[in-house]
Amino acid sequence: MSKPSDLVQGTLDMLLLKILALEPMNGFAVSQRLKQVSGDVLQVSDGSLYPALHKLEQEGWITAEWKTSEYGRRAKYYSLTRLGRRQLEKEADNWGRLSSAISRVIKIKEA
Amino acid sequence: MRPEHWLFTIPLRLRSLFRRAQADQELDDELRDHLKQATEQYVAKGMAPGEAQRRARLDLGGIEQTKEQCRDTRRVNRIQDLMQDLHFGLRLLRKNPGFTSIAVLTLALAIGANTAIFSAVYAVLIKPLPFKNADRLVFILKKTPPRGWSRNPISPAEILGWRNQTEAFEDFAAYTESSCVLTGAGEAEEDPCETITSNLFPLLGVAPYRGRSFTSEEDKAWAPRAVILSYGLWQRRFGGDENVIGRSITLNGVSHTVVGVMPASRIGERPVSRVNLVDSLTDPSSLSSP
Repeated sequence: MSKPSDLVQGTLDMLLLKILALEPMNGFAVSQRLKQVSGDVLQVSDGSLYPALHKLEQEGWITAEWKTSEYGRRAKYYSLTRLGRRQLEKEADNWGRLSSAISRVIKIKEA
Repeated sequence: MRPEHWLFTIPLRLRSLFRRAQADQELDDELRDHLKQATEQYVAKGMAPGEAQRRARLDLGGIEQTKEQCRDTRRVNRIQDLMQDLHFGLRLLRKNPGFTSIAVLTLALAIGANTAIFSAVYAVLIKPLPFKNADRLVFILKKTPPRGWSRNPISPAEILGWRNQTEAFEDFAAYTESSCVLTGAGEAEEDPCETITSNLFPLLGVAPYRGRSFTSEEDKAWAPRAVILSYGLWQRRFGGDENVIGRSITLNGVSHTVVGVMPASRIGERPVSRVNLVDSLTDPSSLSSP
């Protein structure tokens, strides 16, 4: 199973911010969504997901709220803050630049 | 960092610090909720409930480790660790009352001794004199080291010579200590007194509490004798009477006019016990005149 260190450093934060930008959700839903949208390629262990979420919360990028879910169960819902939205834009920008630079290098034709 | 950032993070940090039990309980609930949902999902995929639960736990890694990592993100662990260390230290101290009392006693004595020494050093060496331009004041005396004389008398003529012929100092003022016999208006009494030149008080930046300081005219030998009372003497002998200024008192058999009263703190705040009466000094220039 791939650990977060196998992800490019700092990308887990960006992925979580992006997922929470779509809608507020709890930790379990985030984990499901991550597996679903990345087609199981990015396997973030649940064990590293929660520390990452808590870190984002402490940074003030996401905020948590206890809500009763549709099944009548109290759950902690995370949502993006204004700061988080700004952070996401910044990281997405960086990522775009980095990945396009890398793919340009990779696509150089051998002579 | 930006203030907006603090807006989010400071309440969180405070909460982690002061409502730790609640924060921990919430962390517990959150992970338990996750386990429950993950288990249900595995069961829905057709797994036996026991096995599903095991898998869900496995996915989460060590639950305690995960919790610890989550707590680490709160960044108040260091403060909490410090508090725990302090508690532990206190418990140990309570367990060994003998050691504790010796340690506390040693510390108390050491701190007390240091404070006492510092107070003395401060008062003697460090504390500035309560006078104007205290850093530019110097005290001049004459010595004869071979004979071991540390304070030779200085004559009025010498003071006048220094004042007129030295460029290094802005001004010279002189005083001498003696005792005066006060007679008339009640019992005779002997008081310690200072004899000063008229420029001493302006030089030190000291002003009388009532009345005025001496004038340079009063330095002259033929001038009418003037005196400034100490606050203590004024209260004791004259009952703090405001009308004492201008009155005549007899010192050493000579009539003096009271021109002022010193403040209660005598000179500034320094307790100069010998200033009780202040008499004006004879101008040395008058010495030459017959």
